[in-house]
Amino acid sequence: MEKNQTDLQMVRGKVGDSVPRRELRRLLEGKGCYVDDIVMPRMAHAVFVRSPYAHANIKRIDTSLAQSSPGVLHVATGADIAKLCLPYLGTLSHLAGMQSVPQFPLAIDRARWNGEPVVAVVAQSRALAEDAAALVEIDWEELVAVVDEETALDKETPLIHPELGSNLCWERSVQSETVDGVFASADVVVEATFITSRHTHVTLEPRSILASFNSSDRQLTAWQSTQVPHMMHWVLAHHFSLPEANVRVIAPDVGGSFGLKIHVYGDEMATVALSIMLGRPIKFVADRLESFMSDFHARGHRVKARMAVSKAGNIQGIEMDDLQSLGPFASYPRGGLTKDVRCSIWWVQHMVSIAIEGARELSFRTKACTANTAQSVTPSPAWSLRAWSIARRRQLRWTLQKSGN
Amino acid sequence: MLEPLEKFDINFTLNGELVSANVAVRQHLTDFLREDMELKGTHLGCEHGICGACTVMLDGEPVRGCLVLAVQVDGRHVETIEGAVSSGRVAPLVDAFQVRNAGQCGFCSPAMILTAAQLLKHVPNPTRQEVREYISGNYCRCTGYEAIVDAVLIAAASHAGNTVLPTK
Repeated sequence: MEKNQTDLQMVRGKVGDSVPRRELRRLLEGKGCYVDDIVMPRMAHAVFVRSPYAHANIKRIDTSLAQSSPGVLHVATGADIAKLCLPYLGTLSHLAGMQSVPQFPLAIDRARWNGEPVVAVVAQSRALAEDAAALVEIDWEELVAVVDEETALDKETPLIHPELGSNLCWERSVQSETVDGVFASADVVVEATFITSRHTHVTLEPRSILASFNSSDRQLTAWQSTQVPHMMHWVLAHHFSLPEANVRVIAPDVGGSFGLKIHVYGDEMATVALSIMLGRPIKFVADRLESFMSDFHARGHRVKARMAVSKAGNIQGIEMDDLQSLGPFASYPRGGLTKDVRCSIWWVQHMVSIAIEGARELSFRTKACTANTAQSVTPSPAWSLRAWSIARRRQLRWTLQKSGN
Repeated sequence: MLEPLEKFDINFTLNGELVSANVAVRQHLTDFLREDMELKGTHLGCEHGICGACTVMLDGEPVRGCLVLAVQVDGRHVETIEGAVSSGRVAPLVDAFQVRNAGQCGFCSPAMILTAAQLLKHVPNPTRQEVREYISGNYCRCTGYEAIVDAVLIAAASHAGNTVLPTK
């Protein structure tokens, strides 16, 4: 160990050298501290009954059997949790026309994705809570699920939030004035459609939170596997109507985030509500199956692109039409659209046009629709344009050669 | 007809110490080690036998703690990362992982080191391909595999008094 310290001191200060991390040794030796490693007096465990349907009405919830299951301390429905937690809305005020609806930690009356938490069960151990969760009876009325973004905006497609009047979350269109003319008179127009599958981040440590509310001094402490403890500090204070001075969020060692642990999740908010409700520490650690169902997704895009090219091989115009599904709610508090916004701004500034060899006539459309898929956040679709322009360059060269130009 | 057993008495060796415990028959070894034995260095990433974060040594062989029931270790020897670190047997690997920065979030690391130690026990001078193959059952979602393979090779080389790394 002493030798190691000396080695560390020797390498420090050399610009360009790899500097070993001080905290790495305890992680390597199994002496880190992740949320699930923390144990508190009177700590209880929460598990969630999740919707087995992508879209369904909740007709009746019977928790009586679960309530009397061994070790069970409490069973809460969406309506119970909503009494303690202000709903959250994932729209962004600087994006005109973006629409979503206020979201509650647990589904009330209707579930809108497969895996949405519906009922919380608190017990003395995770295993006992799981036993009881299996005894919760819910009468479901299955509804038509909207899972295809290509048809999500059609008139005949059911609305996920009827009060919004549309499944469109946000739309932006930017184009230069003469782009249509360029395509009409182009020597060659090439087209391609890119589809990227949705995926989720799969952090090795699942989402985890340990919330401890001290009812005597009304102090809330949350140990959370999160990238954004400062953001969560405000979120918890605001939505649980506590002074910010009464809330503390601690991010201990975090077993991978990758952008996943940057959002507000209903099951984690419900865990905090349960701690306030019961006045004792409540831990929730997602298991792998519910992580796949309830963690945010990313990447699901359908990009249709066209390129107008002259016989000399110059790219004269580009059109890009991006369609994506954001799931049933815009993610809170980041909206899930920031990358798309940035991309459209790039277009306005013609930054992309410089990157793609001087095209000056541009059209960019992006549509984010609501669907009964897991909630999603999105990266910039600009990559597809770049990849496409490189791939098409070769084909174009071949096409032009073949036509004798 | 016999009533199903809820609990079962076990006696086993844990990191060199004799342990007697009354365990739930349905409890897997990792939950038992983490919750009852308070050994938090063994992690749970999937509980499906896929990710390898729960790897512990059972009678000298690496096993998935999530796929072994606690009752199955009755009369046997269990070693966790805590024991392997205390005995000093994985120190060269820990040193190499630290020097090569072969860890990011650290969630997979203790299990990765136990697995790597088993490889070096049987194959003191492995090739890169052998290291890759052997640790393929331990997921690193931060995808630091290149550094991890390097670190295992550094540990092997330091043991052999050789500082030149194999490249293939």
